Amino acid sequence: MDTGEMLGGLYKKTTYLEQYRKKQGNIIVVDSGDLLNEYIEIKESIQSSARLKADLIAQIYQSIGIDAINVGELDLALGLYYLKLLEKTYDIPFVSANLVDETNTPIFKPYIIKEINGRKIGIFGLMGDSSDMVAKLKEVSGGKISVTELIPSAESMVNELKGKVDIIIAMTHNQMGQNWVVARKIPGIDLIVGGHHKQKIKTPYKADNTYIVQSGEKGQYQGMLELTFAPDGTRSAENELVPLGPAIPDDPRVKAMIDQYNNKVTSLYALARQEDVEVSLNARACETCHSEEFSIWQASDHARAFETLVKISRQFNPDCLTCHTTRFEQEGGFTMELQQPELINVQCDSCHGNSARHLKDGEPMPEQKLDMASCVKCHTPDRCPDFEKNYQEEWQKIKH
Amino acid sequence: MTRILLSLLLSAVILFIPTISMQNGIVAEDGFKLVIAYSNNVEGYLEPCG
Repeated sequence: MDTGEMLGGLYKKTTYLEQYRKKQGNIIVVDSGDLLNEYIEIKESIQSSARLKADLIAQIYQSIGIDAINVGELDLALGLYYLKLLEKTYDIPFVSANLVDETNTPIFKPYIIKEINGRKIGIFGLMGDSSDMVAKLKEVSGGKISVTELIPSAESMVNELKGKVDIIIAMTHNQMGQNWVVARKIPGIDLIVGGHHKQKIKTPYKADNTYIVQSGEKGQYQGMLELTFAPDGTRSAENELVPLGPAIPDDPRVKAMIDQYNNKVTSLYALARQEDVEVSLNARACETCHSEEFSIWQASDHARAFETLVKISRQFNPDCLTCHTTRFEQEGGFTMELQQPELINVQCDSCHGNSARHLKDGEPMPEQKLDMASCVKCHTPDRCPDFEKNYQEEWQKIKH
Repeated sequence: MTRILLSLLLSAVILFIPTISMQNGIVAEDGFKLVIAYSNNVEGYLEPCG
C-alpha cells in the first residue's frame, strides 16, 4: 500500500472524487474530524495563516460536496466561534452528537440524513470520552465545551435514526478500541468511519454487523468503501485506500486556490523578515567546543534546510517552518514574529534541546533520548516516504 | 381442505421471507449498493511539502 511517493493534496482529492462521480454516480462523502489543524495549540503569531488555511479547506470541502464532517478536537484549535463562522459561511455540515456547551446543549447538529438513490442514510458524529480527550477539549475551549458519554450518546443516536433511515453511519473520533466497543454494544450501526487515531485500515474490520474503516492521515489516501446490501439481508464491503499520488492530475481550480493561499501567507509574514541581516548561526556557539560535530552538521542537509524552502517560496509558511528552522515557536527558538535569521535551518538545538543555559552557565544540556522517534517528528511518512526503511543509511549522513 | 390451504399458505410465507430484509426497520425488497468516500485526520494538510 505504501507507494514510496509523496502523497496527498486537496487538488488530487477533488479530481478523484469528480472523476468517480462522473463514472459511478452518487456517493456519500464524509470526514471524521481533525480536518483543519495539526496542533491543538496555535500560537498567536501564526493564527492569521491558520485561519486563512481553515477557511480555504472549508471552501474546498464545500466545493467537493462534503456531506458530513465530524468535529475533532483539532478543529476547535482556532476557537469555537471561528468554527461556527466557517459552518455558517460555507454551509459546512459539521456534526457531533455529544459535544455540548456549559448548559449541556448540543453545539452542532447531531446528525444529518442524506437521500441517495431512494435510500436514506443517517450520519452522526461522536467524540471520544476518554479522560485525555476531555482534558484536551477543556484546554482548547477554556472549559466551555464538554463531551457527554460515548456509549449512551451512540445509543441515543441509533434510537433516534432507527425507523427513519435505511443505513446508519457513525463518524467517530477516538481510539480504535472504542470503535469496537461502540459497534458491539450498540447494534444498528452499519458503518463506523474512525478518526483521531491515525491507523490505515485496508480490509475493513467487522464487529458483529458493523464495518469499521479509517484512511490514515494527512489526506494521503482517499478511502472508498462500497457497501452492498443483498436482498437476503446479507451485506458485504469492498474497500480501497486510493493513494492520491502523481497518477491523479491536480484540479486546476483548487491548485490555484492553494497557490493564492501561499501568496497570502507570504505577504502576511514577509514584512517581518529582515533579509539583509548578517546571519550568524546559533550553531556557531556550539562549534567552539564541538568543532567536529559542527563540521558534520555543516556538511549535512540540516544546515541547508531553510534554503530548500526559499527555492519553492515557502520560507514564510508556518506549516513548513516547523521542520526547517530551529525550535519553531518554542522557548529560545525561531518565531514567526521575529523570524530570527540566526535560527534558520535545523541546528543543534532542534534535536538536542534549548542550549541557552548550557551556553550561558555551562549547565548540562537537557537530557534527550535521540533515536528514530526523534527524527520522524519531521521525517514523517508523508514527507519522507522511505525514511524509516532507510533509517540506518540516513543516520550515517549526520552521525556524530 | 383447510389443511391443504394452511400448508400452501405456510409454503408461501417461507418462500417469501428470504426475498425481504430489514435494514434499520425499513423493508428493503431488493439489494442496493452505497459508496462512501471517507477521510480522517487531514490536519490542515493542503498539499505535500515541496
